[in-house]
Formats: sequence, C-alpha cells, structure tokens
Amino acid sequence: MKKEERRKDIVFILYILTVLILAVIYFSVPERTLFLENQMKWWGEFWEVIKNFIRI
Amino acid sequence: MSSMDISSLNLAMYISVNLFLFSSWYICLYRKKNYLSFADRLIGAFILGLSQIIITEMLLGVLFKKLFAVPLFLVNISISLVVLALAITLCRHETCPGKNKNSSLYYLEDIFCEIKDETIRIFSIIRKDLVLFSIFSLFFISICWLIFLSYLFPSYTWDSLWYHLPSIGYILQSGAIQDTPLYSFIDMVINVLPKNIDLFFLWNTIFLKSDIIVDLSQLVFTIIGILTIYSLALKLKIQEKYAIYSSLLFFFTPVIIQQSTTNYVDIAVSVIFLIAINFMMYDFPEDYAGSFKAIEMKDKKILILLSGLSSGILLGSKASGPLFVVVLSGAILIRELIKHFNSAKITSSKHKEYFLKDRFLHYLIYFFVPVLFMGGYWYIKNWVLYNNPIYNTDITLFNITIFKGVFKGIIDPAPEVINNLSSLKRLLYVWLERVEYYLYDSRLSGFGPIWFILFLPGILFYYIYVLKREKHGFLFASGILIILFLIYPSNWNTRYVIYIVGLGALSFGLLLDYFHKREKALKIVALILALYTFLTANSPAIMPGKIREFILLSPGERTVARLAPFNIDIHARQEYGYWIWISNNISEGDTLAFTFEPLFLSPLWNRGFSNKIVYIRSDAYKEWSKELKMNNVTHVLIRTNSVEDGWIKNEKRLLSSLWWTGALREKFKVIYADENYKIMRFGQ
Repeated sequence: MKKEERRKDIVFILYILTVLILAVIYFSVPERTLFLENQMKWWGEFWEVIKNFIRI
Repeated sequence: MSSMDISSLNLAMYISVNLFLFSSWYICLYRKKNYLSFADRLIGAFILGLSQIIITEMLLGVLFKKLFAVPLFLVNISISLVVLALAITLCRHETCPGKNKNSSLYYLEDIFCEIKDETIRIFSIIRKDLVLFSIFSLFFISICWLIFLSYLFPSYTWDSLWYHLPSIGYILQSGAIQDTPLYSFIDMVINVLPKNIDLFFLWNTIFLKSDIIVDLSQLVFTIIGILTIYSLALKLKIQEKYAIYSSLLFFFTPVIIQQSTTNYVDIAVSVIFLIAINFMMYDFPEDYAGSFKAIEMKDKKILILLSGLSSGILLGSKASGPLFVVVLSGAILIRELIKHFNSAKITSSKHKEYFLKDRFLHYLIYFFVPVLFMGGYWYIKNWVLYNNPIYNTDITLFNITIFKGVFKGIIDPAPEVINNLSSLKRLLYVWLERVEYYLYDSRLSGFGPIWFILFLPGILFYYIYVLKREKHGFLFASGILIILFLIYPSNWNTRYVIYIVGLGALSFGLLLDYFHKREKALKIVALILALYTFLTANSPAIMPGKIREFILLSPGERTVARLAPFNIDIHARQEYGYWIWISNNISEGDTLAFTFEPLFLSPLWNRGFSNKIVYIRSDAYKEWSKELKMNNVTHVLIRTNSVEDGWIKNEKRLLSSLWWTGALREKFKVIYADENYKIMRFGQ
C-alpha cells in the first residue's frame, strides 16, 4: 500500500512538472502578448459599455 | 389576428411540439432504467427526438413535398402521443398487471421525482466542492451569455450565410427537400451537402417563422456533449465529482464556446460521435468472462439501437460522416471478435452459437440498418444524381479512383504557415495557439490552454498507467477516438476534431480520480485555466460596442449588415445596402429574382425565410422577362450596368419616346439603387 502511494506521489510530481513546463511554453509564445492585449481591449470596451448603461 | 398573436401562436407551437417530442421519448426510455443511467436516458431521449425530427422532415420534404409548419407539427404531435401512450401502457403492464389506472400517474410521478432528486443530488455534489462550484458558476454564466448573444445577433458566420442557412431557405420556400438547379459553385455545395443537422436548424426556424434562435441550435449539442462526457466518465468508473469536473472542463474549449452560437455543424458532429461511443460502452469484452452477462446482452438491443441511430445521424451530418462510421464499425467488429474468442474459452456450445449468429444479427438490425436509414439517403441521392456519393471530392482507394468528384484530395488546404511542417509539428503549432484572437473557424487555434496544459499530458500519463492494467473501457473509447484522430485528413483543424478534447477531459478526470488525495493543486490549475478561457474566448466579431448598439435596435433591425463582422466585412461591405433593404421590405409571398452569383445567398431571404428567391438569367431580354413572369417574380435584383440593367434602360428609353405607352413604364420600377446593385419591382 505504501509503495503504491509512493508511486502515486512520484507520478503526481511528474505530472505537475509537465503541466508547469507546458504552461510556460504555452504562455511564452510571442503572439500571447498581442492576444492578451486584444482581450484587454475587449474587456476595456465592455467596461465602458457597462458604465454607460449604469449612467443611463 | 395581429402579428403579436401569430408570434405567440408560433411560439406555443414550437414549445409544445418540443416538449411532447422529447418528454415522450424520455418517458419511453424510463422503462429501461435498469440498463440506462439517468444521463443516458436524457441523451437517449435527445437522440430519439432528433431522429424523429429528421425522419418526419424527410418524410414530408422528400416524399410528400409538404414540409410546412402545420403538417410537421401534426405529424410529430401524433407520433409523440403514440409513443407516450405506448410507454405508459407498457409500463402499466410491467409494473401493475391489473387494471389500476392510477399506475400511469404513479409512473409519471416517479419520473418527475427522479429528475428532481437527480438534479438536487448533482447540485449538492457541486456545492460541496468550492473549486467545482466556481467552475460550474463560470459555465453557467457562459451559457447565459451565449443565449443572450444568440438572441441579440443574427447568424453571422461565414458558412452559415454561405450554405447552411441557404440550404434551409430553399427547403422552407418550396416545402421540399430537393436539389436546386446548378448555377454556381455554392448551389453544388448546397445540393450535395448531407443535411441532417441542417434539418435541425430548419426545425428551429419553421415553427417560429424566424431565424431568431436558429444560431442556438449547436448550443443544444454543446450541453448534450457535456452530459455525454459525464456519462462516459461514470462508465469508466470515475467518481461522480471528478466526472462533473471532466464534463465541465470539456466546455472550456474556445472553439466549442465560439461555435455554440453559429450555424456550423462541427460541435454537433463531434458530440454525436461521442454519443455513439457512449452507447457502445455498455458492452465490454470482460463482461464475457462469465456466461450470465453474455445472455443479459440480448436484452440490451436498445443500447445498440441508440448507438446505431447516433451513427446514422452522424453519417448524414457531414461529408466526412462515412469515416466516422467506418471507425465505429471497425471498433464493433474488433470487440465482437475479442468477445467471441474470450467466450469460446469459457462458455458452452449453446452460448457460442448465440455469439456467432445472434450477435451478428443484432448488430445488423439494430446498428447498421439505423445507420443506413438515418444517413444513407444523402449519399444514395448523390450517387444517383452525380455518380459519386460524396460528389465534391474524388474517392480513391490505393490510388485507384472509384468515384470521380469535382476536386482532387482535400478541398481545404493547410494555412501557409503550417503547410510545410510535419504532421506532429502542425499539431503542436496549432495547439500552441500562436494567434491574436479566437474565432469560430480559426484554423490555427481553438483548443485553448486546458487542452495543451492539462488534457494532453493527462492522456499520456493515463495511457502509461493503463497499459499495465486491463482497463478495457478506457482502451476501447480512447482507441476509437485516437484512431479517428490519426486518420482524419485535416486533424490539425481544431473544429473538425473537437471529439479528441473529450478524450482529454476523460483522461484528466481519471487522473483526478487516481491522484484523489492530491487533487487540490490540479483542481486549482483547472480553475485558473477555465477562468482564463472564460475571459479570453471572446470573438472580435462581436465587440461590446456592437452589443450596446444592438440592444438599442429593434429586433427587425438586428441584421448581419448592421453587425458587419470583421471577417466578412471586407468582402461584403458593398452588399450591405441591398441586404438591409431586403430585410426591411421583402415580405411573405414576395419572390426575389437575382441574376448573378451573390457573395451569400442567405441575406436574399428575410429573417423569417418567408419570401422566395430564384436565379433567373437569360441571353435575351424577352426570354428573361418571360421567365420572370412564369416564376411570379415580384422583385428583381441586378448588378448596376449589367446586361439586364442595359435591357431595362433601353426599354425605358424606348417606352418614354412613345408617350402613349406610359402605362407600361412601370414594368421595372427601381425601388433600391446603389453604386453596385439595383432592386426593381417587377410589374406583370
């Protein structure tokens, strides 16, 4: 039982490490900055619309 | 009757027919609750209901050429009443053989109680886990947001306007499912398209006499897809909490979120494929380790039937349908062979006989017949009319052309940036999503970070774990999904292979179940990525400014031309004028003739698809004019300075010189004109 749990721990650490590495790769592609900028612009515009509606 | 009354009547018709149709099948399936889980009965009722919709529309449209709202309503209500009566009668016989009339009421009460209890139970599981509750809340907000966007905006996407909506427009205007004369490339595409899902789009238009919710059609498939992943996860013996995690995370795939409000068919195709696999998952080879279970399988015809119906709908939904069916059939064949050899070792000769004869017969009757029945028509029709079942592409086997098509190979080549990359590099490039925004048919993105960061390693890790253990269920489902993914011609294009995300979601659920005590970190990563997707899956085609503008417009004014989605704007800008004019002025009973190949056919109909459109072109004015009369044309759309424009101008010049023929001058009265187009009222 203990051996199985230890094995699970190792697999879990390996999985988490893989997830972290893939996250770094995914979020560090050069286009991500532009992608996030576009989304910020979308949400900025959305916030303006909400503010206008509240004012009305 | 006022237009308000008519709209209310149409809405009542739509709600009642849907309520009767799906609830009658659910009540019918309730009898099978020993074989079918709650989720499977819901999915099964959806598949049976969808099959009924397709069959009744085909019956009225192909055979009787009377596919109109009233006949369709009456036929479906009648069928549903028969199904309901049969289900209740059979239940009364099974549960209370005496003549106790109250037993039907108890039966219905049981059904309502079960739905209530199951909903409360599932919500209590969600409520107990804060991370799961947060993911569910994001999901719920997204669904409400998508419904709001669908209501606010018309169907604006490229393929919807190009061929999905025109294909239902042609059916609605003629009441017949038939090929239209081939005048342009798009007519050919519309004619040869397998239309099962388009018939579902039609279902969501015909009663309401409006396209207002037609773009919500795929959202239904998204929700059923989530339910299917949940059901598959339970069959893989994942704890219920993790099954809910899997199913909700499946939703946080940008291409699914973006396509849910479009009249594309990609979500529908992938979800129906997952449903077909789901109904095959009852029947594992390890069940045949004991002879009793083998006999029990005889009673599970309903499962094979549901799988067959799903595969049939899939076959008739997209030209790539045969590929899905070949893989599913291959999986059945391999599994049956394994079962046969497993059982041969342990069972008596009587059982062997059952395996060899009856099982083959069962699959023939309950799987392959429904497959051909639900999807075969479109291919047989193409074969008869165009000598090729798929028509637009060559069908080759080992470099031998069996059926000649219009195109050789894949119509949709890979974008230049990935064209020279190897298959694996192409996939990695697309999965890394090196794009500036998400779009419903983006060819270089769509799976989102959950796929790349959590699901992809999840599949790999779980496979390593599974290889040492005999997990037949997972190997069977994942085998089908992976094989289809590998042989699919454009598997780099995310919208064609949405089903593979289902495998990722299941693998992640299995891993959560496996790690169990260490779940916390993974759950938090999942929540962060779901939140990221929730915040970034916005389409640049629908900017907040447009949302505000459309809220202030009246429903009739909310048109594609006013939305001007950025990806069609460059191509369609010069068309907006006459699109708006048509949506404001062309009404029921009008026939609009056009003389050129427009960018999109869809805007030539009004939003209720209540007018008719017809392509009329001729080499001579007299003949053209005669054809306009023969087709009872009320309006003519022409290009400015086209041949037709010249004819009309000449005639006007001639008539104006002959003052006594003044009455004839109104034959072509210009009622709309811009730089490029003219619309004229045609007086007969």
